[in-house]
Amino acid sequence: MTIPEILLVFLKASFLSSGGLQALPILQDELIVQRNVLDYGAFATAVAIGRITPGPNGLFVITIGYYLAGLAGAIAGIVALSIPPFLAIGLVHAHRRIAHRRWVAGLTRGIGASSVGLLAALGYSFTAPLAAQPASLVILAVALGILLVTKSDALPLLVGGAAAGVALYLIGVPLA
Amino acid sequence: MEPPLAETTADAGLRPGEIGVLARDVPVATLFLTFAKISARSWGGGSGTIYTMNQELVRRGWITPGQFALDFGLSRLVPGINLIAIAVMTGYRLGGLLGALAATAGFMLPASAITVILTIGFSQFTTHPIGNAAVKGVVPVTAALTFALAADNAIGVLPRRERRTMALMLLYALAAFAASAIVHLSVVFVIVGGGLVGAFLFRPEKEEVGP
Repeated sequence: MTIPEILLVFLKASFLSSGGLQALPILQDELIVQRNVLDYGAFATAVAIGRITPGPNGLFVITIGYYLAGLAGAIAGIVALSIPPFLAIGLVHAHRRIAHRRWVAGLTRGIGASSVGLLAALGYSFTAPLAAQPASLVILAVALGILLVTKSDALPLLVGGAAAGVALYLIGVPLA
Repeated sequence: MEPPLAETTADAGLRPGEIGVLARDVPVATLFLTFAKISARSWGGGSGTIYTMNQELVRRGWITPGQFALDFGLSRLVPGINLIAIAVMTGYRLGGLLGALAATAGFMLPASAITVILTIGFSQFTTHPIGNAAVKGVVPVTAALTFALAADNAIGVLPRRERRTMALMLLYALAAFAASAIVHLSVVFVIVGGGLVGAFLFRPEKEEVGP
């Protein structure tokens, strides 16, 4: 595939999805089913890398770009990911123009309440696959306790989690 | 880096639990560096990032946690990756169009560079059992970060002095959780539904100035 082709496929996936992983089925259809330029193993690796990387979610697109065309493909991924979110500026304006009305204040609160539930659901989706593994749930509970009590930064806890994973592996209780 | 003081207070007199932007005209370089720092420090594929963004932006006195919860909700209505949309919105609110570009560039650069490096080195790393074990230890921490953020946003959004409204909002948050986690309803329905229900049922008792 040429770089402009890759860019167009990535832009399509980026514009037609919201929240990161939704781009995955679109890319899967384009790159594996239609064009047959990547296999499922490459996709699985890309998603795994995307779950470790810092910064925004959904950066697996950059890895897929790299698999398709090296550094130029990765840059196509970065560009395609960065463009659609700028539509948010229109939303900020629309919201600001009417924000002083009481019903808009209520609407704003409703969106905030939705976010709280959606974030908890996201946490649940990460937790459900861990249910069979008591050690993972202990790490989760300890990390959550530290976060709620100390308002700690994320980084030390992520390093601590990685260290716990390695320690458990070394004493013969590997995490699932 | 010292958090700069908000030079002009955009929404004067806000208490911590309210929704609002506290700073304006933040220098473009400061926005770039702040988002680059968030981008480089928040490992874990996004959940750590939302937590770190909220913490950093609130700690700097730029926005309230309630504002972050609102922006998170609005960001889910924009196509593409919503965390990037939060960077766009925050940059735009604090520094105009240039601010939005600076925040987005700062947010994308370190994370993208690290992603490329990881891609090149990944097969060596995870085929090694130690690397694999480290990745598995990070997953539960990622879940904890997400729950902690939900709790923080709940504190930021719920109006403690309006008991009835607070109870209704809590109920909607629970319904949103069930709709998304159990029924797998599209997040767009949940957010638009929240806005519609809120416009009727979550109105503030007194006239209030929004963001």
